[in-house]
Amino acid sequence: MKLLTHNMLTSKCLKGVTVGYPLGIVAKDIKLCVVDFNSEFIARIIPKLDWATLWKAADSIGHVGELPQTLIQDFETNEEFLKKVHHVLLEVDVINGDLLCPESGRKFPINDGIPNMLLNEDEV
Amino acid sequence: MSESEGEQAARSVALEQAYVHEVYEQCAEKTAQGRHWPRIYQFLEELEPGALVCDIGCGNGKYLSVNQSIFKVGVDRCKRLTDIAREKKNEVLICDNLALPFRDESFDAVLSIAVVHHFATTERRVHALKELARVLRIGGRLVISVWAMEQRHRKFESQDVLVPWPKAYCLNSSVNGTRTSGVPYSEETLHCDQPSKKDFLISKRTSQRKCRSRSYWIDPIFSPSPSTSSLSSPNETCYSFFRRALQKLAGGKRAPGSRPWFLESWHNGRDRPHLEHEDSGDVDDIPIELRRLEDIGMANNKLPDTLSVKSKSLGDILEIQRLDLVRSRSSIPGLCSTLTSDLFLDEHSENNSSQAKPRLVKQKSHFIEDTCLEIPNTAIQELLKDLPDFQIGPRFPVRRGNVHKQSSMNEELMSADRLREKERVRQNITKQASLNEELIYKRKAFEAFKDSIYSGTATKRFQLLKSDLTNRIKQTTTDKVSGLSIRNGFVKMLQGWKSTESEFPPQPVNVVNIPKKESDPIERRLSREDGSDSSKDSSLQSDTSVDSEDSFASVIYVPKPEQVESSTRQLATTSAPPSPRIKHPPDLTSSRLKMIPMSPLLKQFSAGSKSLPPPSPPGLSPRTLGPTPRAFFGGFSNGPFKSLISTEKNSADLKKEESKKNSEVEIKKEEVKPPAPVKVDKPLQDEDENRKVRLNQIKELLKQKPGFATRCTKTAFPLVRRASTATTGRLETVTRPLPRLLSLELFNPETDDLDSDSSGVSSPESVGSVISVISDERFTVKVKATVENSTVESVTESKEKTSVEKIETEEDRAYDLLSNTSPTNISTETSSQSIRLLEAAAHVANSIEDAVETAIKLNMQVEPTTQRSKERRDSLKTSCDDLQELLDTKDVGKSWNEECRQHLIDFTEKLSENLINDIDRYCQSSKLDLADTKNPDVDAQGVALRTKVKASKTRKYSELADTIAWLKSSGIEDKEAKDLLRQSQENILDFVLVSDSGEFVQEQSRKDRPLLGFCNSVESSDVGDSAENTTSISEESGSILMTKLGSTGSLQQPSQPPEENPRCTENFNECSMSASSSQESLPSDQNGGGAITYHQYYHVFREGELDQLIEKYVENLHVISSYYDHASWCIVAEKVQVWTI
Repeated sequence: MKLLTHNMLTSKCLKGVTVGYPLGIVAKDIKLCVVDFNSEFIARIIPKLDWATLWKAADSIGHVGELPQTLIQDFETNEEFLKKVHHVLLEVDVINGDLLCPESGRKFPINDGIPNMLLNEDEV
Repeated sequence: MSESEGEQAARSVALEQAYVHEVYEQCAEKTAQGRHWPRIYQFLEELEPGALVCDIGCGNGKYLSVNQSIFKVGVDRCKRLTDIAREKKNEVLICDNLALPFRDESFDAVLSIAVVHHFATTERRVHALKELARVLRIGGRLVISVWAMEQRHRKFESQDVLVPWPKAYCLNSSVNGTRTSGVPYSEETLHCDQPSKKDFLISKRTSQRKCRSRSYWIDPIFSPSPSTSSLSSPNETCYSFFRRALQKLAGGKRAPGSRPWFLESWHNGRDRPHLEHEDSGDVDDIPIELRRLEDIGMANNKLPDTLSVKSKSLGDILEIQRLDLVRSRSSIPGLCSTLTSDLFLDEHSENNSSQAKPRLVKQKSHFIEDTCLEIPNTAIQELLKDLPDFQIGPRFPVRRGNVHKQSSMNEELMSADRLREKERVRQNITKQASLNEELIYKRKAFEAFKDSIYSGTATKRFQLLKSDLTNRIKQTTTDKVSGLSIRNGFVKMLQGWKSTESEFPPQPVNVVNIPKKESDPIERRLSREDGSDSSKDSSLQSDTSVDSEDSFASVIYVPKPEQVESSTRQLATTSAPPSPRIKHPPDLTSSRLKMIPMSPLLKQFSAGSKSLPPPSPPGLSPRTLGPTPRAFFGGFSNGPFKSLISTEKNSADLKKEESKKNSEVEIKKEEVKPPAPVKVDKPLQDEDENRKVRLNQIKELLKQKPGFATRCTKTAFPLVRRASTATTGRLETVTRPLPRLLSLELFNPETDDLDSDSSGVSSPESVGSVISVISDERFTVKVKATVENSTVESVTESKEKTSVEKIETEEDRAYDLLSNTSPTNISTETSSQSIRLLEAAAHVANSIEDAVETAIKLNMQVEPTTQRSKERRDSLKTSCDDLQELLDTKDVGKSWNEECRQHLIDFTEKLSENLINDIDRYCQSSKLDLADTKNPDVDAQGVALRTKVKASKTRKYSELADTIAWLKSSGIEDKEAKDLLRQSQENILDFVLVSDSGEFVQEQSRKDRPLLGFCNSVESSDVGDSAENTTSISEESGSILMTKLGSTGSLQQPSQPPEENPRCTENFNECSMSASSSQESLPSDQNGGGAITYHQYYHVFREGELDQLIEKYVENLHVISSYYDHASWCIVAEKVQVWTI
């Protein structure tokens, strides 16, 4: 699971959970992979992100690197920044671990890089 | 209303789980990466860079690799598919379309390709669509594609269908995108492209789909495979539905296609004809249509508009009947578990009906209520417990008390879902009850209502039978004599049962009793039929009557194996296969089967009595009814089961011979005499049934489409006849004591009559074999609940055997009614013996997990048998010459059998002395039986008959060998380790997959064969199986043994088969090598191999339906474009800001 994906995940489908965002990450295995860098792609994606969530998630798994806690203004033209974001967003892959619902504490297991977000019948 | 909603929801969830999620899980690896749909590809390519795209129902990630400048997240509910997609370095996660774990408005584009059509209700479709819209940002685009109802190569008569998945899938993989002419274009694309999520939204409840057009399709569904057909019933409870679904998953579609569905014909002959035609047409291709998936729920929710029903025309009622019928089919599997209970119920019902005659009108309403209450309870009990069944039996006499008890029991055991089901059933019942009052005097409508009411749960079938009986009884009341006799018979029956039950320990007694019951009703029937025939004087009529009866019986019997298998499958598929459940299903099936035959008799009876002057004096009936049944029961209960069976078999053989010898004229004369009248109670009814059947057949013939006609006529009808004959024969055999058999040479009027009736004697024997199998299975299960694996396997084998036998019997009938009886007998005997062997094996085996898989296998096996029978018919004509050659081979088969036996013995010695003893007994008994049967047969019958018998024997031998191999393998497993069991399970799974592929091959071959491509198809299928199994030595041998051995070997352990395979192959080659025989054997092999066909649920969308759904329920989606592509309705919608004032 990439952090970009994590940036969109919530547990609000859980019964009784209203926001369920952001999900906590308990990473057991993290794999760094190489993904082709596309500056335009990253630049266009950044505005769609919840930056605080991204930073927090990266920080929680120890891969925040040099990312600033707040989004810089000129990110579109800052190639170096975009590469850092690229790395965090797409090249850090959580292979095994858990996602935690911030409200209920419900764990969503991540196995082989695939988060299992299925809910039980009584959780819907 | 909330209850009904909950019920419906639970049901739809169960349906999706069984027919969508599970299917994808099973077939994930097989799904080929289809080609991109150009328009979707284009859609993705045109997205601006940096777009966030979510492919919901991504399947194996087909669209996740498109356009590297966008970020795609694939989600699917199927873990296996996500694994596959993940391996391609896609970002995937597992979630449900109905609960997407994404923030609102987080995606720039959302794909929903071939997902929404997997949701079973409109609510769920809408929910899924709303969920799609939720995660889409405003201005984002959503692409939805759903399978279209309007397709070029496939026509759906209803919108809720179960489509055989593997086939489509295989075609896709094999064809690789190119559409084979035979295969429906749409299917390929759909499957390939979107093995997507199962759950999705949309669809409306279109009132349209339900009725008339559907009937056509519905029937086909039934016919193709009883198990599958069961699925179609709309009102079913979640459980029954689930069962069906499981069955289907297991792969039952081919199953002995035509047989089971007689019930319907029986209920409403009119509708039937159409159905059968369709069925025969293309079992594989035919999608199973589920009627009223939503409607039922909807109706419940909307109202007890009960009376809106009034306004509805008869057509609606008829539909209801159909539904009921369907349900009943479906219910059959469920009932299996509660054989004993069902039996008791049947009797009870019968008693009630007979006793209640005077009150019938008033009681009807009560009846319904009672039945309704009972139904849920019984169903639940069946599911939950084995033991409850036994208890139920004794209770029955006091019905209400039973109900209460059961309810209490159920409450304890019931889960929330079950409770929902109950409630739902009650609601249905109440509605129907109100309806009934109005319609009471319209018999058909009334019956239909009852049926519908009962149909709610699987157990309801039993009630249907009751209703039928009651109705029939009323009708019959006109003929006081007949009615009285019937009453007496019922009473006696009950008494006999009670006595037997009280005397013996519950479990064993139950096992024994079950067969008895079946036999009793059948016997009566036969006798009645005979009487009617004789009275009519016309030989032709007598023959036809027999056939019709046969058909009924066949219906009854046919379902058993499949259903049993299906039930086991269900259990397996569910993944929580408690031993008790497994046990139950088979039993239930048998009981239901039993039930069914009874009702038809009653119907016929009434009609017959009216139309024809009762030839038999009333006095005669009592004696047959009273003494015989008791004696029969007592004998069964007391005597060792085995001995009885063997004796029965012998007697049956002798009878057959006699019957053959005797010309029809003789039969007529004899029948005219007292013996026939003695049993006359129900013959009249039978005649009526026969007439109905004939009419239906005629109708079907008229309506048959060119393509289907050949198949339909051959398969469906003959199958029915055979089955019925089997039942009749069995009854006869049961009733007759051994001494009679010995004295076969002399023609006693009574015996002759029996024989004449039993022109289907052969079939009866087969029936007996079937019964014995069931009993054996039960026995083993009860004895060793823990030995699930072995029992399951044994069951499967027995099922296979039974199916084979049935096929044989059917073939024989088609070919020659009289002459064929002997082979069937032999086969039945051998099968029973083999079954016993299997029992021993079951004792040895100790793995539970395997049971589920085995069940699946069984299903597979059962299905192929039907094909075999078809092939046989064709081949029989040409096979006469070859049969003589087979005689020579017979000796070889014997020797082989002995060897196998020795192997078994050696093997068993290791395990335990007890096991050895048992096996020896079985083997010896089997041999003895065979020897006995041989001599009389040879003397009495012609060479052709001998050859047939031998061929059947050889087949049996091969089966025995297979079983032996099985035993060995099982024993080895036990010794070696528990790990092996797991491995074997895995192997089994693999095997199942393989079998699926094999099926695909078969299907393809089928398509290829325009008219009589059986040989080709068989060969191709065999080849596929062999190739996959690796163990199979030669493709040509395609002989059943080879395939079976290979299949079994692969399942259990690949190493073993090689030794035995050569032998088997040799035998078969020598024996069966006549093209016809070989062909026949081949299909059976295929069955044994167990190609599994998964059915997948689709709600196919009508044109504009999806648009309407979106416009009506998802206000923030604006449809930009709607088009038809790849047999699907595709919509591109944009999310818009909705301003609410």
